[in-house]
Amino acid sequence: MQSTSAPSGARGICSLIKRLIRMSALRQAMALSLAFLVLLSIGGLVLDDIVTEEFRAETEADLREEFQQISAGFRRDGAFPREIDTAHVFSDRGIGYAVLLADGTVLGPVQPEAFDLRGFDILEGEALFEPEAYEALERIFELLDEDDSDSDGQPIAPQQELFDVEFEAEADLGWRIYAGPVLDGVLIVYAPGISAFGSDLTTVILFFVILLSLPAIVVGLIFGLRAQRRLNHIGAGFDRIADGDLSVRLAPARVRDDIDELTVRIDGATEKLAASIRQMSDFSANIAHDLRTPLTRLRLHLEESEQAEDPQAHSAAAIEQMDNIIAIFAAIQRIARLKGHDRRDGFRTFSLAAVAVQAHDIYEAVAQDAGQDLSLRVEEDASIQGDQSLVMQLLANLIENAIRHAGEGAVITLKVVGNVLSLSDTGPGIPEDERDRVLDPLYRLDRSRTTAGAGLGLAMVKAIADLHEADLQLMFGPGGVGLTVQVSFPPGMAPSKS
Amino acid sequence: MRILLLEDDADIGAWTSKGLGAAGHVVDWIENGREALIAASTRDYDVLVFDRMVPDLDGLSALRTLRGARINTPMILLTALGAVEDRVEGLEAGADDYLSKPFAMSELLARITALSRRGRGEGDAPATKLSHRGLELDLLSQTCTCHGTAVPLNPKEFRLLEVLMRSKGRIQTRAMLLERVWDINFEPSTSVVETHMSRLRNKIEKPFDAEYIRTIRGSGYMFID
Repeated sequence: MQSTSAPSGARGICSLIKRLIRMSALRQAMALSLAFLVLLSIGGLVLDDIVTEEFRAETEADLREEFQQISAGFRRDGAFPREIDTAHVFSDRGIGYAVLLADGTVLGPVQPEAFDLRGFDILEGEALFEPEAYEALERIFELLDEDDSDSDGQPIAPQQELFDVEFEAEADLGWRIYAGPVLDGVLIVYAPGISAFGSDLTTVILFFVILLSLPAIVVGLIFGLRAQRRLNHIGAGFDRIADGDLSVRLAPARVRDDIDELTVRIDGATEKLAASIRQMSDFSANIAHDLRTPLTRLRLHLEESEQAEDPQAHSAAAIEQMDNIIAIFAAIQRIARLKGHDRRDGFRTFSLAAVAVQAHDIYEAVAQDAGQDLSLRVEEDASIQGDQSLVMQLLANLIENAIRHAGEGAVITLKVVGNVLSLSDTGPGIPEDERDRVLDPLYRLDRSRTTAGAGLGLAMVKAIADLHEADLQLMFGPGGVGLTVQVSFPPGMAPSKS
Repeated sequence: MRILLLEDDADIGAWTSKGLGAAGHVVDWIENGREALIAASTRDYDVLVFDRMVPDLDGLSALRTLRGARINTPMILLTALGAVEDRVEGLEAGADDYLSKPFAMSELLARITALSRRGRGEGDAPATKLSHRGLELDLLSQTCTCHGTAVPLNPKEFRLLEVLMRSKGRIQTRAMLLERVWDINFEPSTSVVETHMSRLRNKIEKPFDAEYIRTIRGSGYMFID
C-alpha cells in the first residue's frame, strides 16, 4: 500500500493540473491576463523608446548650449585656464567637459561621478577614465586631428560633432559627447546617456508585469473553480437525463448569466423530450391497439381459407385487411418523415384557393353520397409558400374526417380567407379537453373507436401544418356547434408587385 | 414485352418476375445495381422496373446514369412504403412512373402496360377527338356526346372519361386514376374514385343502356375496347 501511495499522489497532482488546464474560465482568465501583459510590455517598450528619444534630444540640446557657453567664455578670456574649474561648469544635469590642447595636453576631463567619490577635484586623463573609455575618447580626438590636417594641407576647423561613447565606469554608464574646435584646441562636453535610466525603466515594467500577472492568475483560478462547480452540476444532471430521469431540472431560481440561461434551455429541451417520449409510448400502445383488429381478422380469414368452400373470398378479404395494416404503417411513416425531414427546400408558391377548389371538386360528390353538403367559400385568395400536394393532403384529411365523423345531414363548409383555411362541420365536434390530444398519432375519441380509419388523419394534418409553420386550431363550429379546424399559414409572398 | 427487373429481395424478385411472366412478359431479373445498369445499356428492353434500395448501385443512381447516357427506356421506380419525398426525387431523376412497396401485382401490370404504350408514343397522340361506339369526346370544346346527344359532364368527369378512353382495353387502377385525374398521390380513405365513377357511368351508360366501362375487381377500371 505504501509503495503505491507515492505514484498515486504524483498522479493526483498530475490530474489536478490537467483539470486546472481544462477549466475554461481559468484558461480565459489566463489568456486575458497574458494578452494584457503583452500589451503592457509593448506599451512599456514604446514608452521606453519615446523617453529615450526625448532624453537624448534634451541632452544634446543641453550639451550644445553648454558648449556654446564654455567656448564663449574661453574666447572671451583668449586662452584656456591651466586649471579647469569644475564647480564653475558643473550643472545638475551632470555635464562635464574637457579640453584638448594643440600640443596634446588634456585639461580635464571631469566626470561628474567623481564629485561624489572624491569631491570637486580636478582630474586629468586616465586619472578619471577607465583605460577603455579613455582610448575611446582619444579616438575622438584623433578623428578631430585628422580632420584638422586635410590632404591639401589647408588646416580645416574640426566640425562640431556628437559622439556616443560606451564607458564602463563604476556606474556602468554610456556617455554623450559633444566636441568642437575652440581657440587652438578642442573642447569636449559630455554627459551621462539615457542608459543610466533606461535599464531602470525596463526593470520597472518587468516588475509590474509580474506583479499584475499573479492576481490575474488567482482571480482566474477562483472564477475557474466556481464555473467548474456549476458545470459539474450541469454535467451530473445530464448524466441523470441520459439514465432516463427526465424530471431533472437544472435552472436556478434566479437566472443571472449565460450559463443559467443555458440551463433554462436544457430544462426546456428535457421537458420537450419527456413530452415526446410520453407521446411515443402512447403512440406504441395505440399502434398495438389499432393493429389488433385487422390482424385478428387477417388471421381468421387465412385460417378459414384452408377449409372454406370459397377460399378465394377469404384470401380477398385477407388482402383487404392486409391493405388496412399497410395503410396504417404508410401513414405512420409519412408522419415520421414529415416530422423528421426538412422539406422546405422543395417549397413553391401557389394559390391556397386553387387547392381548396381542387379539394372541393374531389369531395363534393363523396359528401353528397354520404348525405352531407360540402360547400366552398373563397373570400380572399392568398399565395402561400409550401408543398402543394401536401397541403392538398392536409385538406383531404380534414374533409374526409368531417365526412366520416360529422354524420348524415351535416353541413361541411370549406373557407379560404387570405392565408387562413378553415373547415367547419355541424357534427358532434371534439370535447375541448381532448382537442390537443386528437392531434397525436393514433389518438381516437372513444366514440370513434368503432368507425373506420386509423386515427392518423389529424396527426398528419398536424405534421403538415408544422412543416409549413402554420398554426392549427381546433374550435367550436359557428354558433358553438360541431367543429371548426382552422389552419393559418404564415403570410406568403405579397401579390407580385409588377 | 421484355422487362428488366432490378430487385435484391429474393422473395419479392421471384414473385414479381413470376407474376410478370404469367402476364406474358419476358423478364430478366437482376439483383445488383451495377449489373442492371450494364444490362439496361447494352440490351433492348421495353420497360425497366428498378427497386431504389439495392446493393452496389442504387436504383436512383442507375436511373440517373442511364438518363445521362440518353437511354430513355421507360422506367418504373419501386420504393419503400410511405416515402413521400422519394416520389418527387424519382420523377425528377427521370423515372416515368413510381410505385411504392408493397404493391399489388395488378397495379404493377397496369402501370407497365400504360408505360409501354406511352414509350412508343401511342395514347398521347395529340388527337382533338376521341370516339368509340357512339361515345364522342371533343377535347377542344370539352364536350361529350353519346349517339349525338349531348352529355353534360363536369371537368373532372370529363377528364376521367378522357383518361379511360385514351387507354381503352387496358386497366387503369384506382391509384393511377387518382394521380392522372385528380393529381393526388395518396390513398384517400373515402371512396373518391368509386363515387365519381358511378356518377360518370350514370351519365354515359344508364340513359343509353350501354356498357362502356368495366369494373375489374380488385384492380381498377377499364374502358371496353
